[in-house]
Amino acid sequence: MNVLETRTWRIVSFGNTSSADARIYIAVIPDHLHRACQLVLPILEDQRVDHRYAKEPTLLDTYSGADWWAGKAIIADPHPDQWESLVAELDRCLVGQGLEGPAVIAGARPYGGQSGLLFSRREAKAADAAQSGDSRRQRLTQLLGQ
Amino acid sequence: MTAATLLALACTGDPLLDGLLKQCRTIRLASDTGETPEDALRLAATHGPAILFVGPALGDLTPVYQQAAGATVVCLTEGPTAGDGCHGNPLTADLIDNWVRQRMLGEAAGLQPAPKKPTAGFKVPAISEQTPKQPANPPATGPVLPPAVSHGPVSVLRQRIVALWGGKPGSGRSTLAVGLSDLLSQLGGVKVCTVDLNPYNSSLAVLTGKEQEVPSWVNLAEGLGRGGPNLSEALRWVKPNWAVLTGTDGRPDWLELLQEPTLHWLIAELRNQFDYILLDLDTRRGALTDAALRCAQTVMVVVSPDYPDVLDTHRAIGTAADRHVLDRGRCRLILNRWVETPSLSAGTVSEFLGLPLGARIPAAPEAVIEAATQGMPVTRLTTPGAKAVTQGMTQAMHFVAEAVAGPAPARTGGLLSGLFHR
Repeated sequence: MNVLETRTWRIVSFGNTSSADARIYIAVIPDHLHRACQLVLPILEDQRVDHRYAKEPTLLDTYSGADWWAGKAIIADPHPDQWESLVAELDRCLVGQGLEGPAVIAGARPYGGQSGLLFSRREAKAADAAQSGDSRRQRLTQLLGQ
Repeated sequence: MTAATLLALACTGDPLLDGLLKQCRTIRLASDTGETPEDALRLAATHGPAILFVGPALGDLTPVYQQAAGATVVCLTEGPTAGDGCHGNPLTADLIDNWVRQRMLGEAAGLQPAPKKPTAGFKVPAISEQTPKQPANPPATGPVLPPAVSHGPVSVLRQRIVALWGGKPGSGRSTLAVGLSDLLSQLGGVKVCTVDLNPYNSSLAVLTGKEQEVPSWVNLAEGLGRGGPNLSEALRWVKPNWAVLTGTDGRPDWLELLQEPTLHWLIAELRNQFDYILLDLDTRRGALTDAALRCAQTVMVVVSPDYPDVLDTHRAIGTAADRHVLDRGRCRLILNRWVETPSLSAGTVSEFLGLPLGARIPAAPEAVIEAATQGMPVTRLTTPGAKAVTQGMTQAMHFVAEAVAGPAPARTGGLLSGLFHR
């Protein structure tokens, strides 16, 4: 397990060749980052999923003004084969914990699980692809992704 | 050419480094950004000659160095281990500015030149190449849709987004939305917005006595035409703490604007102003309704005592759940205009749909009709029928309000340090 600390993140890598297109976001408010990490990180480590999380709750506050990043507290990059089972397990572990987060984050779609805290880049990508014939929509998606 | 014309792309994968780039004076930062190597390549392809700032948080940067045609790829690194590109411990805007002046503008600066990157594809364009080319996807003609969400810090996050969905047209969702909003607005210190997302059967304007006012979409469409919609202009205030966003009423030009990205923009804007956001949805599923269902923390599935209505709702919920648009855990069944009969009991419907019963609102057609004709919520009438309806709606309201009023989980500082500092 390799760990890289950046200004914002603690990045944990297991050397996987995961695709960022399957990226999963757990979006919570700063006050709930700690609890979300307690619940989620053991699962990600057990399943050897590359992931990162904001090192401190205050950092979430700091970058909440950056539209692209606001709300993205924990980010997981599973292998596409792991995606379905992982996202379901994450949803199960987060539901009923009283955690809150934004309803919209940039560049990702709500997963739609029970917790309401999970977002998926994969589904957003699929939606973008489905709309590729419509340049106006494509531009709008780009705009909203900024 | 001055330093300020140097176009730069921020894709470091680190929000704080991206933010640092905003403070630099020698670069003009493109507004779009990203967080993966794929995003970096997309940015480079879109903008052409530019400085593309990346960082170790992106992971393997080889594809970026090799494929970011035309862009100068600069890796921002900080910490005890120096990397290629611009390095500092810590990095500051001044360090980056100095790097840009020296490497890109040929000016004397306090920094020693960084070692030239040996990676194939790395190219420092001449200064004369710095004029940005036109974006690959120029804005389309026709209606301009909302710009990027451009609010300040997300203040959130106690708001509740509630979607009213299910049943057939006429099952009373809009009446419920208005009544529920009225009750919520009577709670102390909260602001409520009711959004009409019925593309064709928009009825919130009528039900709130706003049908004589300019539809919200006049303002939204005008604002979008200017490239900068102002949500405040589009809100129709029923009370000082309750606003309505009236519907498109089937107008084709507005329907064209009422799309999923517009919804996301709307919700992001509304979240800055309101505590409760109620979305009155179309019964039919589509991209817009699906997006709204995904966004909502609570979905009120409104069903009337009509067997085909129950069957349709059952099918719709099943499909939505299969496609991860919805899950039953977020749903509450609202039996509206309800008449309990042996043939179709509340318990049977709840069991059949697999949804917990949130509220049962009795049928009181006279009260509902009277309220509609007066353009006021049924919850403000005092007739016996209206009182019974209000009682049912209050039951539904408590379910929504409770979710917001719930206590935040206790913080346990001990584990915090273990998690964040291990």
